[in-house]
Amino acid sequence: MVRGLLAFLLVFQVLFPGLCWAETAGGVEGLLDEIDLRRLDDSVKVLNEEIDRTLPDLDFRSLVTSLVRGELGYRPGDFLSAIWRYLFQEVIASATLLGKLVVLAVICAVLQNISSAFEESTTSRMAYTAVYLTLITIAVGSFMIALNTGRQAVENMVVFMHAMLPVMLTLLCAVGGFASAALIHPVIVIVMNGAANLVKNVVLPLILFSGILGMISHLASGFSLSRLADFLRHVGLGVMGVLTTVFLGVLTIQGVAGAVTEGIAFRTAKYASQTFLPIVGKMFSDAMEMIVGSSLLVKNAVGLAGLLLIFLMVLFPLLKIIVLIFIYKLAAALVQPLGESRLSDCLNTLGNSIIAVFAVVATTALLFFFALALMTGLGNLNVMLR
Amino acid sequence: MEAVQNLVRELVILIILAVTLELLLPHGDLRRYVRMVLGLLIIVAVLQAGVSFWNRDLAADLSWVSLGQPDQEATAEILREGERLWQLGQSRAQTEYEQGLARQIKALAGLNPDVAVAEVRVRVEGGTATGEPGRLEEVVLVLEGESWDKNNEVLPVAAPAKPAPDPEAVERLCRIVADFYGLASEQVTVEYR
Repeated sequence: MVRGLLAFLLVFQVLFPGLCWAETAGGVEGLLDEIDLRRLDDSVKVLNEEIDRTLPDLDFRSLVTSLVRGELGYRPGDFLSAIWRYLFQEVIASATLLGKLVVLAVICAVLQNISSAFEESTTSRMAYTAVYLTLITIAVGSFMIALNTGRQAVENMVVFMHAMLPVMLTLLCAVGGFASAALIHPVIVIVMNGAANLVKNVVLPLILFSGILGMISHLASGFSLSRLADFLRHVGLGVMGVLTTVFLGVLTIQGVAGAVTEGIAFRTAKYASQTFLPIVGKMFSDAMEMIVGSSLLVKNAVGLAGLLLIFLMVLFPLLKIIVLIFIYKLAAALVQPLGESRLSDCLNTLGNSIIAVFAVVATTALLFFFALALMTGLGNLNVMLR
Repeated sequence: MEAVQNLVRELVILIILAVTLELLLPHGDLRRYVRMVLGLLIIVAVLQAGVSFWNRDLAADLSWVSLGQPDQEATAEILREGERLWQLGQSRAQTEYEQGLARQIKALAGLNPDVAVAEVRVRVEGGTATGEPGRLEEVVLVLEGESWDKNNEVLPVAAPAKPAPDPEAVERLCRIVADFYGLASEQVTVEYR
């Protein structure tokens, strides 16, 4: 947690100095006009549909322009109240689910407690099993909703990153990062697609299987499969851990290698021009730095807008998942005093599985966030090394 | 992942079967035996999935973990577009550089009180993409007035509106500019207006 916070602060430390240049809005818009932003606009349109009145409509170009001016476009208070409103709406929408779960749990508990009243307890046990299976069906349904929300969020982020990559790398070239762009584009495409596919096809299904096994293992008292369920969940999260390490490692090495190579090339040229042309050389390098500085400003603003959009893209699905976690944990807590520990444990297991989905989606978002921050920081590194 | 999916499906079916049999069977030893058999079946299902995993062609199984082929055309397109933007910035810097250079030469010429330079034009060529400035190829000093005709000993009848500067002073100024910027003397030329 602390490491994550430190990394987050480091990213912003790298990003924000780039926004200190003074630049006219005309110059920025001139450079923005030169770049094809159509694919980004399409992605933002999808985001606008998802946000759906919670926040005012976003426009990528105006977001970049306002970031260049040092404005965010949203007031923090409005933003927080929008989040709170969305969270409240989701809780209200999920209240039905909570009601169903609690009512079924009460029925189960009643059936369990009156079983001794019957001559043959088989009847009440059969009824209990039927109610339990109904509860599992409802739970699996909402678990699938959480899983699909996570999967959709990952897909949206991949589409957005694919739209963002050409723009960011073109702007990286505009500040002289040709080697970095040529090196990092194939690597980032491979690593990003690999990570997204691994998350969608391996990690999330493993968590789904773990959730199903966890739920079903409470059905039959003699056949507990909770260890197998835990094993599958740990494998899924382990794959995610390895993926994170590889993703960040590859990107960092590739990015820094490109920036250093370029930094040396530029430094040599600058040294040569300043040494052999004492007055003229300085004048040219000053003019170049001014141009590169304005391109860097636009690149940082575009990168920061991208980071903001990635954050918004993942925020609302994560809020939806958080609400489901809250519902399941609350249902488990409410059911426990009824004396029906199996049901309570089942709901708790499901809550834990949805927490795993939350962790996976949040980690994937963090990976994309870092990839974008790295691309943004690369330009700064290039210019710093010159 | 299909193997794990099948395993989970089999396990769910076995558990539901176990629950159903437990409900149907009478109390007694038979229930314990059935439970043991189902337990064994679960172990067999798990082992079967494990064994089949070892016998599989892993490369074929993992083919869906598509890593996405690096699209060289897309990279080339990005580099082309980046090159265009870089050239745009480079030409802006070059213009700034030429204007600054012209102002600098004009200021240098202004130190010489004998020759009034109205305008300076420079020609720079061969800047590189790595930020190296282009070479200064030509400097044109634009002076006010008419040029002296050295061969004509007769002075014009009507005096010019602005007297032409002394040719020797002009030549001295050209030499100073050429020496200052490391140019050959023929690279610094003079125009009158």
